[in-house]
Amino acid sequence: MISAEYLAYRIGTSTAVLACVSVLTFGMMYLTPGDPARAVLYHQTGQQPSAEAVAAFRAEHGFDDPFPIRYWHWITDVVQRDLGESYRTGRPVSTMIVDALPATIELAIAAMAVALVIAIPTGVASAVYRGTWIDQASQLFALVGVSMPNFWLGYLLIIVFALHLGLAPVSGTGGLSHLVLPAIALGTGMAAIVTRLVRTSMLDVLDAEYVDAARAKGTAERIVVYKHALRNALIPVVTVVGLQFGFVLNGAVVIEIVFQRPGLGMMLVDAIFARDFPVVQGVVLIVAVLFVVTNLLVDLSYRVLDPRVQFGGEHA
Amino acid sequence: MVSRDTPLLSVENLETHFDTAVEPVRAVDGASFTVDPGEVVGLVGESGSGKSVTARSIVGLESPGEIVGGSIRFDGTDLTDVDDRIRRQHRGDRIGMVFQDPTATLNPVFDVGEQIAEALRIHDVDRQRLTDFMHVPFVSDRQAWRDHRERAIELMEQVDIADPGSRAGDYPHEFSGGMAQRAMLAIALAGDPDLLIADEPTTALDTTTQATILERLDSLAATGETAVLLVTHDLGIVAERCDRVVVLYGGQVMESGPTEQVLTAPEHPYTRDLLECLIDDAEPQTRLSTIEGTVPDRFDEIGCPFASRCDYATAACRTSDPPIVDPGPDHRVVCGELETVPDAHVMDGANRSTRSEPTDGHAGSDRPPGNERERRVASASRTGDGTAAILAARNLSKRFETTDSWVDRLRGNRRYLDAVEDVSVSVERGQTLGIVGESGSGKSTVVDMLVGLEAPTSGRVELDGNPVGTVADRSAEQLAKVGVVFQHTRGSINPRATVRDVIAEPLFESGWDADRRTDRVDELLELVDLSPTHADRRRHQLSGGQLQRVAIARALALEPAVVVLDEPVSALDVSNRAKILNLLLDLQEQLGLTYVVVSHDLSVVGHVADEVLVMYAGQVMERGPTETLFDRPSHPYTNALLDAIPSVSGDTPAASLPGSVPSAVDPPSGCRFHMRCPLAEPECRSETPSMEAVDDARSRCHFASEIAADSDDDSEPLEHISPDTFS
Amino acid sequence: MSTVAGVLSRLESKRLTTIARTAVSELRSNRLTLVGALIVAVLGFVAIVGPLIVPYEPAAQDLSNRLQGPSLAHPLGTDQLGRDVATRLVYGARVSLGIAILVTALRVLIGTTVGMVAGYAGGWVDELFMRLVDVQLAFPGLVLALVVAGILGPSLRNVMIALAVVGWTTYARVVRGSVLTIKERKYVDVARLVGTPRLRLFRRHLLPGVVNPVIVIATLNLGTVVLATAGLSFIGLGAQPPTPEWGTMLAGGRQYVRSAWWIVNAPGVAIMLTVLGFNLLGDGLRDALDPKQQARVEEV
Repeated sequence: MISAEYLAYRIGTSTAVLACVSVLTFGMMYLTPGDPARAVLYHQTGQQPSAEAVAAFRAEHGFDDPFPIRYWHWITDVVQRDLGESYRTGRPVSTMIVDALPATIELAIAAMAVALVIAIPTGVASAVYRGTWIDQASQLFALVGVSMPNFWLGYLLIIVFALHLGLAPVSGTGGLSHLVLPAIALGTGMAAIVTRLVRTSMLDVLDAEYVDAARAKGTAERIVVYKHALRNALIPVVTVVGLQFGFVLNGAVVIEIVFQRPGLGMMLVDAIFARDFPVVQGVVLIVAVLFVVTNLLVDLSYRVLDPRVQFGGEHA
Repeated sequence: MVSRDTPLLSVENLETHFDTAVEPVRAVDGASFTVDPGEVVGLVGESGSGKSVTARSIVGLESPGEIVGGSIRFDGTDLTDVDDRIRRQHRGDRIGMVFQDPTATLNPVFDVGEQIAEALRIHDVDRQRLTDFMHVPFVSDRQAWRDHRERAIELMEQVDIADPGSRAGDYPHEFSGGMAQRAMLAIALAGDPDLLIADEPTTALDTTTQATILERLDSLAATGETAVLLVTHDLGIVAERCDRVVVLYGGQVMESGPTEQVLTAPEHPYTRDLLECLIDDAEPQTRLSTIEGTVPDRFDEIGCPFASRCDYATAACRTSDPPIVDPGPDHRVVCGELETVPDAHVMDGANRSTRSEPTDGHAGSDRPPGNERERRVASASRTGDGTAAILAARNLSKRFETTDSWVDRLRGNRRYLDAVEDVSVSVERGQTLGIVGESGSGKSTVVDMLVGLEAPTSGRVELDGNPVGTVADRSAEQLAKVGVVFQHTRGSINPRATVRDVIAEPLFESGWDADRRTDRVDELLELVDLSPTHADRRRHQLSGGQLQRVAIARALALEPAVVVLDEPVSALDVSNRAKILNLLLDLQEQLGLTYVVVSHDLSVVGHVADEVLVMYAGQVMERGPTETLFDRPSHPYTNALLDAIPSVSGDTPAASLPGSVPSAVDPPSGCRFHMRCPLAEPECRSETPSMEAVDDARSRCHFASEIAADSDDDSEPLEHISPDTFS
Repeated sequence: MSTVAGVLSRLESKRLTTIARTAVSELRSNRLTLVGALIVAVLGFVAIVGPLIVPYEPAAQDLSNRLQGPSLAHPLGTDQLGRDVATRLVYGARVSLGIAILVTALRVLIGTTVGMVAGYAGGWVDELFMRLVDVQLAFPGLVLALVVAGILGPSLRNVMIALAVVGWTTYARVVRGSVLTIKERKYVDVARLVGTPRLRLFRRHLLPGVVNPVIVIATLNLGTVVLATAGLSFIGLGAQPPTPEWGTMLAGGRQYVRSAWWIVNAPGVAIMLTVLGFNLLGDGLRDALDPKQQARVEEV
């Protein structure tokens, strides 16, 4: 359904975006006030480093080279799947990421699943029973869900389900039981957003003439809603859910801290505090790649879902 | 006619209300009528008359409105008194429905074949299960799925969709309006209904495709098995297609009866007024009859809804419900003042009088009767490329690039759309040029180039004999000389500005000071018959007719010599249309204006224009004096356009044209019209005809003079425009 | 016969729908909007006047009164250092609201300018700005803010810079979209026809169309910024102890969730109510100002 040409075009632009992203990512360390090398050493040892130590560090890590050359060294390594070594532990960043990534992806997917399982039925019911208590309750849920900080929700869940009811472990990783509370904490906010979206989208669609036309055929209301309306209403939802993937990654950082789940987020925060630049750069780059690829997939699926979109390709 | 003893559908005192925060809107307010088996009944009225809501109430689609009273008896069952399941079973099975905008009534995400197959599926199953309708692999019955698809394709063939096998896999957006409406018809017919409700089925279609759909409905009813309830605002359609007519106003039936009787001897003042507003038989360029006032948003609960606009209304009309009178068999009129209403004159078209409008007091109302055009034509020399032209286009062409992919662009694989090709027009001072064409003919692009919003790819525009560029290049004086009234007036008015600001905008830009602006706006408001109280309103507080007046006032602000009007009346009801056309004619006489009027409606152009340009697929097909074009057209397309106008007084029903306007991206070779032309010869396919003079007209057809001679033989007067020679 | 007249009469029933719907939804959303406005007003009042009337100092430690539950003296209890939670909450309102307003203002300024210029100029300028937005959008917002703030060094000022840098793209996209739509409007053509100079065209016809969506987004955004600031502070990148910031307070109480639930929940509720207030207000404004809603009423 999607032309090879369009695919090439989208992959081309995505690659260009990622190239710019990599420059920015690498350049971020220059935001450090003062000498980054001094900052790194200070954070490692907890005291002001000597001039010699700084000089040695700079030489070892090529800090004295101009930016384009340093970037070139870095990016050529990156392309060969070498993200450098952690300043702190000396471990290869790529290994660290490979270790931490599954836990985060697991959390992200679980949270998305929670969100969709809650949001789609709630949103549809809210639109179909517009104005009734069902609608009001689901809108209230959506409002509160959007407004609630996920880290606080995390603690609420811990207090109620882990501490008082003892239904789930407080923290750490492990089986499904370790995943439930973090996934709910992270998924609720997204569920709220998607609920609202499904509701508005459904309301728009239910107003469309083709829905009445379907009813005029004698179609049962259930089929009108779930076949004719929902299929159309999901088109904008897919886009937003894709964009929400970024939201999940944002939230994962905080949720991992709340539930003490080792993952990409926790690793990133630790690295930031330690001025462990290779790790920060590696994580940011990976997150950006994940994000850009998701958006690409969403864009392509959108074209499959909506036959009206021209497959020839479109210029932004 | 089928037996009238047992009506198929009997609507009695139907009341459908819409709840609002203030008070309910009584959209349908006690309407009663019947439809017999195999009969075609027209339900007519202006917008806001409640005709659509009535139709939708019958099939149970009145939501968010609510049926609060009355009954809808269909073949013995009161549909207002049964549960949703029974009501639903009637839909599709017994009652089919076709809606107005066919492109909006097909679900955009399913292919057309599936949507027709679904209608078939509904009639085959007792209980509709989601899995049967969603085509879930391994769960759905694949054989049934395939059968329904095949039958859907047969149905498509029955409604004349060419190549149904492959078209079934197309999505609605790949269908033209006419084709989509046929698909809707196939859906409605899937269950072999006893009654087909068609809610303005052709309003969104071009006139030449309109007739094919209507013919289809006609032939359905002709079999005697299906009755048709045709909801329309077009009395011409009613006259041609309906056995009986029901006239609706304010959600109530004003008059009903056999079409012949109601349209030739209307009793109710509203029916008469509606008929008199029609351009149909009016002398060209004379004032049309109008109905005072506009359709109100809400009607009083008691009394005749039409009382506020009726010439014969008495106090009793407003305080008590009017009685039902039967002037003839099966003819019902709801009016209490029939005695005071003068005897209905027989409306045979030719000697219909145009009633003067005492309430619309205006400079133009004392205009002497007679054919205005003849007088003006006599005084103006007319040549196609007249040197005295005030506004002229010389060999205008406009090409848009449609290469949408950057890869194609890089490869040099560019695609173009020739929206306008080699169009030459000119209009002389005080004259009116009409430009006619269906959607996609390029007429709006011509307007954009004339007024300077688009630069021509080649050719030039001349104002007073001097070449002018686009808006950016024109001097203030040149800009002031041309006023423009855009199509879709609503969009041309800033929603945030007051009427005063809107009209004053050109004055402001020309550096008028505040006091002078105020005076001029007041003057202009008076000129277009708006009261000073309108000055402080905004867009959403104005009716369609009022908006049109505001746009006209703005166009006139700087005293232009030429006013370009793009579809000036297409959005308006008959009575408002008549009022705006009257206003335009008055203003022309009063201010000596020159008009360029663009419309898809040949009757509008025929009424106002001295000269007409007929466009098709970006080219001029024919051009000449209005009478010549109407009396003895020399191009088959002009002929087809004339034939397609449904008319109250016409003897033969409007004829249709097969096919649709070709894509301008890939225009056909030879004559652009050959694919739809009833007279096409092999040479039309290969050789592009050039503009050829036929008497005082010019035509782009190989057989122009023969056609002209042929249509001359009919020697029909201008008013009777259905020679129907070629179909 | 006439297309538009037909469309209008089809809308006959839809018009009534819209009338009914807007009336009902306005009434309901009005009430909710009022609640939102009330929350925001109370919050503003507390932030401005609160610190003048509370009896405690936000940083005053009282180790003998650590982890005290809610009482008359300490309506929301005391924290791990014996500080009055209610007092810190009141001071925290000042911090949260101040940052929310400043960050949102910065975002509006950057985003609106970029969007206007890109939409109006078109061509390569548009292309350049929009690619910039694309690059920016390749990072999940909070992750980027986290990194920027983290590398700049943990402080409220840096959090503000980071959040401003991260959040302007929404405005740029919406404003550009509005400008592009309005540019296609016929009334802009009319203005061109009467010779309106560019700058006035911009000011009279384009700018007003952009103001409403920006107001709506900004209101909703205030809530988002409150959430993000609290989140970053919770991680430890924003306000540093002993600054009374809600996210920091929440982080400080997390070892005591079992014994002193109020330390975590008091700021949690405060954050939620604040965001809820802005959301309700923003939704109400959108219903009232949304050009789409207006258009729906107007077009019929």
